[in-house]
Amino acid sequence: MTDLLINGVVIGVLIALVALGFALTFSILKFINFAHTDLITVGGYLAYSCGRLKLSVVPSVIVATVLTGLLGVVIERLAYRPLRGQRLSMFLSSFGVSILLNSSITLCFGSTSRTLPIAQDAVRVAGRTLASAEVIALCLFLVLLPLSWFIFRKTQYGLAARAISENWDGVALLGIPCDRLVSCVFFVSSGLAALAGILLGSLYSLSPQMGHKYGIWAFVLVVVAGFGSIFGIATTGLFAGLLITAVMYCFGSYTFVNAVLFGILTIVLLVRPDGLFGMRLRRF
Amino acid sequence: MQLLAHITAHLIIYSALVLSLSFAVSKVNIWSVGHLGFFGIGSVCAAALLATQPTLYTFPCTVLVAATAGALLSALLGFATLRLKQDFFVILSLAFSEVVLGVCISWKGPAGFNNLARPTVLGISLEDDWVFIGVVLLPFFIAAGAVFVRFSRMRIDRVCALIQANEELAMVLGVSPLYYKVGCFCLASATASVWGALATIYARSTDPNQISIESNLLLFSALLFGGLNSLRGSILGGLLLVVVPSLLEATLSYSPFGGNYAAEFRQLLMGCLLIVVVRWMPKGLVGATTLNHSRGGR
Amino acid sequence: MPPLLRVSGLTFSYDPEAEPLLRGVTFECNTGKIYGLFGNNGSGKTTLFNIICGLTRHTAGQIDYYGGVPSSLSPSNICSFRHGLARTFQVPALVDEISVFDNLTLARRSVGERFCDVLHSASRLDEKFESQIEEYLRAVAIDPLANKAAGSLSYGERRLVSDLMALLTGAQIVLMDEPFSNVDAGRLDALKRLLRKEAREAGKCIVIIEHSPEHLAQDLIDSVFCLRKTLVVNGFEGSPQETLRVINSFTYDEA
Repeated sequence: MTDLLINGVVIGVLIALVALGFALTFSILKFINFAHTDLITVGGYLAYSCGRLKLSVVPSVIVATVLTGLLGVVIERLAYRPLRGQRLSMFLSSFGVSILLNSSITLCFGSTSRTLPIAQDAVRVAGRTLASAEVIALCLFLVLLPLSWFIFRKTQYGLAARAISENWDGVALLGIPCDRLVSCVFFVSSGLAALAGILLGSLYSLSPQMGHKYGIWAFVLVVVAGFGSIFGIATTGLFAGLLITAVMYCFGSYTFVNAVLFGILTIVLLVRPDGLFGMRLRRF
Repeated sequence: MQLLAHITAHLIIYSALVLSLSFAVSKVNIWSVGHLGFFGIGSVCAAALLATQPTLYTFPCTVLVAATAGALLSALLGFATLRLKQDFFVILSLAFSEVVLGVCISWKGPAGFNNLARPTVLGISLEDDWVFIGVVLLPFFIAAGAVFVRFSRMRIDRVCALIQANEELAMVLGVSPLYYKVGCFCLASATASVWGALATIYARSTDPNQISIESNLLLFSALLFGGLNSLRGSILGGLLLVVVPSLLEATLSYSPFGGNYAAEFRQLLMGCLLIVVVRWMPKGLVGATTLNHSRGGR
Repeated sequence: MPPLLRVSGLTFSYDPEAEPLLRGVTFECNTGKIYGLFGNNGSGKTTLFNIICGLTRHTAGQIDYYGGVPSSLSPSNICSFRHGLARTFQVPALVDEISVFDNLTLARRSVGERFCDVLHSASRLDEKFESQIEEYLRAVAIDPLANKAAGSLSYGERRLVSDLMALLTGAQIVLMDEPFSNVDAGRLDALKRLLRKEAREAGKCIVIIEHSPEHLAQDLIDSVFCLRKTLVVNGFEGSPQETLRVINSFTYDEA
């Protein structure tokens, strides 16, 4: 029972990390970055490659995360920046990037699942045996979420990042380098996706479709939680993780997970169209 | 000859799908990214009916059931969620498609229904592919095209343009945007449903893998390539979905990558193509309107 | 004759804890009169219009249209209730891709058109309405623009088209948000004449948001409202000089 609980929390944590990255890019550029889901896969496979190149665990993770972050920056530069302001175009461009990444990975690694032998060793925490990947996931959650909250609420750069989506020129006039800020945000959000991918790959398995599978959960999470609040994403993530684990335990397959999530999504949106924790927008 | 029939049939089906998506995207700016979910619903309805009672359920009945299922579900979905911000709807739509995929797979497994019998129409046997194309697919497509063209000439098209241009003005002029949005969404989804049924009858089987996220993205891109709001554009989009992959596959089988990975390579190229086209050809090849950017959110 | 529009005790605030923007606004509008609504920037004039046409929900108070209340308070319902309500926006709202003439044909949607009418061909409108559109275009001398795409017009031209659209709906209550802004002097007179004609002959009640009191001097506005949280001046009717004095004293009163 407690195993299920831990399992649920861990999944929730990892989905929340992905959702956080996604919410970051959405807040800044106001479009749905579809390719975010594939960055999860990229991160996982990069770590795998590093492992094959005989790098040990910590350097693998660092290299994979940084490289994915840089990839995110490059993608933004090439595929989104020229289309800035045209939301549907950026959205479709992100489709293209997603397809590109997905097929590249399948070309390089084939479509069968692999295991990612990182952080697989067991660790005893508070009398229970956990995979160290799970521990790492929990630590990341406990560190990164408050950290992002702090950065976005309290620092000048966080404020600027939030202001940019409303008024680009206004922020630029204040002497803040907007383009560089956007690149930073993409770096961070891609890095988060990579970390989630590495941990998910370690705990479950790597496959070219994993990004889409977990990504859709992260998308649903962000919509249910609403885009306004990091705390909202964190808590909703935890609940989502527990729910997903519960459903899988009862029904034994992924298919019902999506159905249940979809049902909850619809109900929440009917009752609270801005999401559970979303910023209350004036309705008429 | 057989191959040509297959290609023609697929061309018609895909063009019809692109056309149906066009109703939602270009008329009322609903980004139905999970459009294939409705295709799947129609597909499964038809398969279920044909598998259980092939002689009892005749052709019109199958099509009607598919259309009704699609229309009802989309109406429910539409009324519940079309008041939302565009971005939320996109994710909802995608999640819906995933749910349909899940239902299809859990019902009959990843291989879907197989060995369905084609029903007869007015006593004409539809076993021959060309007969099927001529008697069923073409007339349906012509009907869909006629509806589309007629729609563009009616006042309702102007009202839809008004809703897209300025919802507040539309409301103040006595137009209720929700009804029009749901209406067009229903039309689009019911059409996709019907074509799902037709595709199933043609193929004598269902293939749940057609309803993947990637296929949805490709369908949406085909709409963009061909051009929004245009019948020719939809046909072009269908052409792209059929011809380009086959061409790529044919040429790539001679390349050093070998036939094994042709499918992925083709997808990779289509991804690049999509990025390039979005950047440099926002109207698509023969589109009548560009994408509606400013209305992306409420 | 009962008032076409009756507002009583209207209160509104954006935020439940903050000071209300409008407090206890009460007034009536009768047929055949042109009303001027004055107030400083931010005093809530446009918000008042938004509330009356249903785009914003008020927090307290009651609004009667033609002596009744529509079944549903959505904007499209309110604006097609009984004899209709028309409203222009501060930034002229038009469909840029289609021509001026086609834009004006959209006005017919408001009152009297049923759903099945939209299933008719777009090019086959009834001739009476089409000639009415042409008549209005000629009245303010913009008929040469009839086939130009609305997006290519200047701001003043868009303003005129938008004003015409409101009049063409045939609605008896017309709310116009700064209908004269950027309209050139020549057309301004024609527009005012048209408004007077609409009010006197068609019996419409027109409420105009205005900034500058000079427009009164040409015998346009019958009655004046001045808004600052509540109606400081409520339906003042007098000679143009007296009205001008009242408005000026209201405006300077703030400072």
